[in-house]
Amino acid sequence: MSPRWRRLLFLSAHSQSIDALVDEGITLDDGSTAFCWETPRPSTMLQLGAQEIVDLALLQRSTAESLIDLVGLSAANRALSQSSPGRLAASFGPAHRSRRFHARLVRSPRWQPRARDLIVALDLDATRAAWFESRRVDGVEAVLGLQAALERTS
Amino acid sequence: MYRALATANEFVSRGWRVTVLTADRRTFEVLTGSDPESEQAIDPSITVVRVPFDLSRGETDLRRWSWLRAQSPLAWSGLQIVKERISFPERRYGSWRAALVAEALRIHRTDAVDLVIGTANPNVDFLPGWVLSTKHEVPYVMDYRDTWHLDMYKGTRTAGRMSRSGRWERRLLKRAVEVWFVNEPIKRWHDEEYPFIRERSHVVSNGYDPSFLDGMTFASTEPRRAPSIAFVGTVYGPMPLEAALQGWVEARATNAVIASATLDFYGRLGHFATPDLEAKSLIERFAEHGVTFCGKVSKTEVHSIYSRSEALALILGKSRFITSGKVFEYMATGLPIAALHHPSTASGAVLAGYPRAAHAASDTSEAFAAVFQRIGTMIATADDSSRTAAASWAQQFERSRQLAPRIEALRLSVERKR
Repeated sequence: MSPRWRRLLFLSAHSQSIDALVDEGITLDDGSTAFCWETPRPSTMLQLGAQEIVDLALLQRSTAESLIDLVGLSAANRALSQSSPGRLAASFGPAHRSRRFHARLVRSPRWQPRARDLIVALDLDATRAAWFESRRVDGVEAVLGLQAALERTS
Repeated sequence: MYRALATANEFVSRGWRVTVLTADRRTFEVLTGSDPESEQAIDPSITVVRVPFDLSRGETDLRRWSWLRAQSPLAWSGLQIVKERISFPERRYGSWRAALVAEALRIHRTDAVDLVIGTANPNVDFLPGWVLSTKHEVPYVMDYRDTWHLDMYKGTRTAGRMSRSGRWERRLLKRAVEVWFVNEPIKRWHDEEYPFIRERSHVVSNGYDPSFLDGMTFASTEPRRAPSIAFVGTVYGPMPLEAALQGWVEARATNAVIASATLDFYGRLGHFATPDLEAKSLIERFAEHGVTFCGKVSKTEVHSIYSRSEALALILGKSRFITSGKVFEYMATGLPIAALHHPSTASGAVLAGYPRAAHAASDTSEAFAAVFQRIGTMIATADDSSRTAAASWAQQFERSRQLAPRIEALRLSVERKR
């Protein structure tokens, strides 16, 4: 990897995105870490190194997330709008999944981006987190897609 | 790309001054992949004007994304689609209209244009000619490298006749002085859809460019070197790739030449810069059977692939409209060609007289296996005279021969107008 980068931080909201790392022969043995929303397949965990994969699905859920899972998305939306009339239904609209991913990510104790880290969003649902985090932390950049990461780090 | 390149060069060779409007280099690098070495084939007298293209759709550097896009990539994409279609009803390319037309008008103001050739897709490429025609009576030609409203696999329209894009196509066709199609089936379909173009529509077939075959030598079948069957081009969706690979495996079980040979894919996986992972994975699954993906190769280097190959694989999706461009170059090599496509595919008619083609009875793996077996026999019995004879037969498909009649007709038309 180019010395410009200290390590890669892969963000994956879908398990098949993390599988792409295995398909490309990527390893996480240089300090890189993958943060996944959906639990990766056991074979993926094995090939990439389970300890380098942070399974965000295992993090304690927030109250809102628990509510959604319990009663379903639209019901939760109705409940929220009744309890907080000013709250927009769009809070649980198309961008919801990506917001949940971001919220989970920043609650992970292993999420500690530093200068010269390259955040790689492996799918669209992970881009929001990558975008915001690259602006929050100095010296961090973010790209979408494994191909872009390979080009940036070669 | 090669048809457009050859067309520009051919006009130059026949005494025209040519200006080419194209996108900037980064557009090709990001969106479609590029072949920088091929720029050397552009005639040095041609003026190339690069018109910036909005690449934001393919932007992978998240530092360049707006807040809106980061909040909801889907919503942002939706707005982009609306913005593109407002300008011209062509997804991804419609927003190029303003820059393209502005540049065409600027060029005409500086040095009056006598003729415009718009080659599509993208279909927005037809607009400079139409604008110069409506404002300044400059004649234009519509060159259909691809098709607009014809779905070549289903044979149906991709949008209604009264749709915005349907009306645009009709409007453009009405003013064009000539309309070019790459083969007779596509021309016939358009003549039926738009009867008013019948007297102006022509088949300007694809062909091969001899300059890209300079340096090609016959393969030296050294006893120890495994024979190579090469696929040269782009692997994409509708191609019966899996059936071809299964047929390859089946043929290896019964034919000693194929059993010792390799099947080598040169070129691209998909039409865009990012490789098609599904196609890559499929090819890799067959690696133990001598199948290899060798990566992209510059057009300027294809002669070396033909020099070290014993046969060529032509894999095409089923379509009575598709002849492909590569079939002509394949024939010009004089090598045996494994025609791995349904017999109704239009390239079959092109290959019909080629003396070293093995045609498939259907597009199943069993039929493709039979093709590979016949190719194995051709390789085993190959000699220089059979290759020379085949290459000579293919000379009729040299690209300049396809273009010459139309360029001459257009020259006479432009001179009459003066």
